[in-house]
Amino acid sequence: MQYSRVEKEFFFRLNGEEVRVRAPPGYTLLEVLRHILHLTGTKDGCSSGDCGACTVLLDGRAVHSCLTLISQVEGREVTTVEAVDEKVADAYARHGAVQCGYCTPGFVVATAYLLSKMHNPSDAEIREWLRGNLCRCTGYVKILKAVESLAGDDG
Amino acid sequence: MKRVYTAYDAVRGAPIYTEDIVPENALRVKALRSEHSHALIKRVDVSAALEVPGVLAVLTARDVPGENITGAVVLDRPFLAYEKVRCLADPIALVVAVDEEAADKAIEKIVVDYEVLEPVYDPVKALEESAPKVHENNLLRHYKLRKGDVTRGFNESDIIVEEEFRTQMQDPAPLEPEAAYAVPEKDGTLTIYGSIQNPFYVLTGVSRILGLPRDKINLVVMAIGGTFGGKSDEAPWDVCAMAGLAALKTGKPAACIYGRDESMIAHSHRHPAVMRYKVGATTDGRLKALDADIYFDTGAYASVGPLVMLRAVTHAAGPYVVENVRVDSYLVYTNNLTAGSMRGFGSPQVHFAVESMMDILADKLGMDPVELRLKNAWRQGVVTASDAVLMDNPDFGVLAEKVCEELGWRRGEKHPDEGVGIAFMAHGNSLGPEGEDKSSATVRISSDGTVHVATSLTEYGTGASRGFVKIAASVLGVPEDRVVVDRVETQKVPDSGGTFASRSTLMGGNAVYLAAKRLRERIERLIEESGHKGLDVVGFVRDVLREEVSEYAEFKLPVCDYNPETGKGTPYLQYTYGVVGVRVKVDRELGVVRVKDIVAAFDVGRVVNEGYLTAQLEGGITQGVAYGLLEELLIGKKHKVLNPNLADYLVPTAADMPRVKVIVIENPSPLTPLGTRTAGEPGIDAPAAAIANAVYDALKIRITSLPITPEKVVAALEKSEAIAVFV
Ligand code: FES
Ligand code: FES
Repeated sequence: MQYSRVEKEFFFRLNGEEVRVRAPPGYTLLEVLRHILHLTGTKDGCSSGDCGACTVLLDGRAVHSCLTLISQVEGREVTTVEAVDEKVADAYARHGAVQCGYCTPGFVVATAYLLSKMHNPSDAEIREWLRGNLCRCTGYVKILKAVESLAGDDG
Repeated sequence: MKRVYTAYDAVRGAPIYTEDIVPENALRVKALRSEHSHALIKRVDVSAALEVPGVLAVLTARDVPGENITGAVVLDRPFLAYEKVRCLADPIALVVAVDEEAADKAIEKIVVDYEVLEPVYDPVKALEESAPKVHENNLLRHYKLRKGDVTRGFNESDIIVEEEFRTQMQDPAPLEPEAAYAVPEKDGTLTIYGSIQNPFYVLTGVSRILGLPRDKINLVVMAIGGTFGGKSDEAPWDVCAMAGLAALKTGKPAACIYGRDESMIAHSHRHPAVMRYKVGATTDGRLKALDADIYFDTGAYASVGPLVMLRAVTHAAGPYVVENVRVDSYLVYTNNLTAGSMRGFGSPQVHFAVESMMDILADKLGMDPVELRLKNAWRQGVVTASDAVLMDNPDFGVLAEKVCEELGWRRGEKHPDEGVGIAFMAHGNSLGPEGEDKSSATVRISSDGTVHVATSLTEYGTGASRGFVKIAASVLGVPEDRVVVDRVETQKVPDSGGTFASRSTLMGGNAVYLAAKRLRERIERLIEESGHKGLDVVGFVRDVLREEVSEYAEFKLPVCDYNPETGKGTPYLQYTYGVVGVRVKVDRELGVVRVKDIVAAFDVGRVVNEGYLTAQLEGGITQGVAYGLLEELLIGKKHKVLNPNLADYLVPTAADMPRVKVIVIENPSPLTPLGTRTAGEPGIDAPAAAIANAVYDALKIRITSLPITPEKVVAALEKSEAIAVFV
């Protein structure tokens, strides 16, 4: 059967650069990032806002890219795990907070967001801010250690 | 050859998982699954689905080129259902389309006429004469444990306690759903990239379904975003065969990627269980008799259920010396979703029962639960419940002491509605009675001086590959950054058996150790002969030999002689031992149990990689807490799965978990070369029982079914208060 799909052009800033993409208007930001722009760091764990694997920054705020339609992103600024401060990612790797790694990009972005809002979060604050991100492997102990190692860090 | 990825690849978002490499123009395959738990299929009409724009093919049982039957242990499951559906996961048709949207539309257009049959969901009821027949016979396996004479044992007992326990279906819920991407090659072979735990098992299944010889299929294992058993059994066979079938039929690359709900319905789950226990002891706390009937619900298909049952029955008396034992265990078909591998593999269920029983008994005896356990705990040389001598060397005294001290066991003043609970555990290492255990590895030094390690053991965050690097590096005397672990491809690596039963470091590690040792000895001989003394092995290969040198080795564990018919013999050579202690606070009004502290000590034999080891144990404990308090996959009154999503199925978040404190004790096993014990699964065995015991300590109510939900706590409190008023 013949098949053609409707596409529209969208424009936004991604990791500091301007991008123009053609995508079906029903696509989510997650689909555009992964399938069209081949930025595969942002993961799909549930496509329904329940796991946090797809977390990105939209105008500096952490959002679930699986719930964000590409049309909502028009003209705005998106930051993905590929562009967040390497220090955060490295802290996760160094503290053994990465097991299967599937949740990690989401946690890294959520952590970057937390640290942009709160310089020195308490244990309870870290837990609260990361509660939208699920990790099935670690039991969170080493994740908390990684985040603590970054707290209050001025460098 | 590509290497195995590292943590740094993962944190930077490198394209290492299956879905990451699927191009946008790859075809998509989606399955239509059964609407009913039990029904006859009268007619399947796909004509309207074929009319949907973007659809290339709609495939049913008739289109399966090989054998339309599959199963890890018993061939009892059609790859695509025909004639009859036995659970809500049964796939009836596959749509191959240009994208998901088109596939979803087509699925809605497929018409299936069913004749609905009565389903059965309870393993005890399924054994009744009048129960609906899921297969010809609902009883799949009956395994035993026998020692002494329980009748005499109970006669000699001063105190006898009895209880029935029930446990739920737990979902492994790895964060990455199952995925496969199949590419038809020009030479007629098929390359399938996938999230696969056990590539050689999957190869067998896929080659049977597709009717392609094994050497025409190359399975490439991509990074695995968690499994916990979900990617161990048949779910990866299905996704690989579904993608492979679409690629074969269309001649184009095709991907099959489960959504979250499909993943939770279609992969293997933890067996729900019904367990009836009776234990007798003398007044001074010596265990005289243990008598139990255990029913495991394997759901619609066997999967690896028979192996799970073996592990469950052989762990059913706990790590205790009991004079007389009778356990009968029954593995039963029902119309539930299929149960199979899930971290712990039959062991968490029986630990919940046994460790609850120990506290019930301690309470009756007026004895400290730790003291009662230590009095009866295994030591080297004791006779276990399968009437075999324990060669291994556990030391529960040390483990219990560490936990009690750290937790402040029954010291100081007890706060209202707070309680402490403890549970012991022993987890048989590797396969034991589940099969002959053999692994293999190739270690080679290439002409540029890089050391390559190849096994078929996959990496899904357990750190096994890091362990292989460490072992090879230390045996060869080279820095760790000179060693890489090759990516697993079935056409390229030796078959090292599956990555399950937490066997990687034990089985693979020893094989890597032996291969590396052989390689070193061989190169050292060459160095001697060539008169290049003073050169290291890698330098010699790179600078003098200038060609690759490789060695292969196998490592086997002796076969264990436990016989499930007689119920006697050694089931496992060695175990991992642990003690878990928790402190809980219960909200009486709401019934919510909050774990405030959790301390766990494990005897892990020898430590190869401490970071990964504690990470495995912490992760296991967290899933054990969730098993105790939160997680349950439910089928509702209307015969639908109620919570196949991560909003309603409660996986713990950072806010739910206390900081798990893990204490590692090194007490090398005397029975294997490296002395290591396994660590991937033991964490999950004991937390649920420890929590149930702590809830009893807090409120004097005994919850005998998992998970311990607020509703159950409130109901039990009301009942106990009613009794108090009545008395
Ligand atoms: S993929 Fe977006 S929250 Fe799970
Ligand atoms: S590391 Fe696997 S889900 Fe977090």
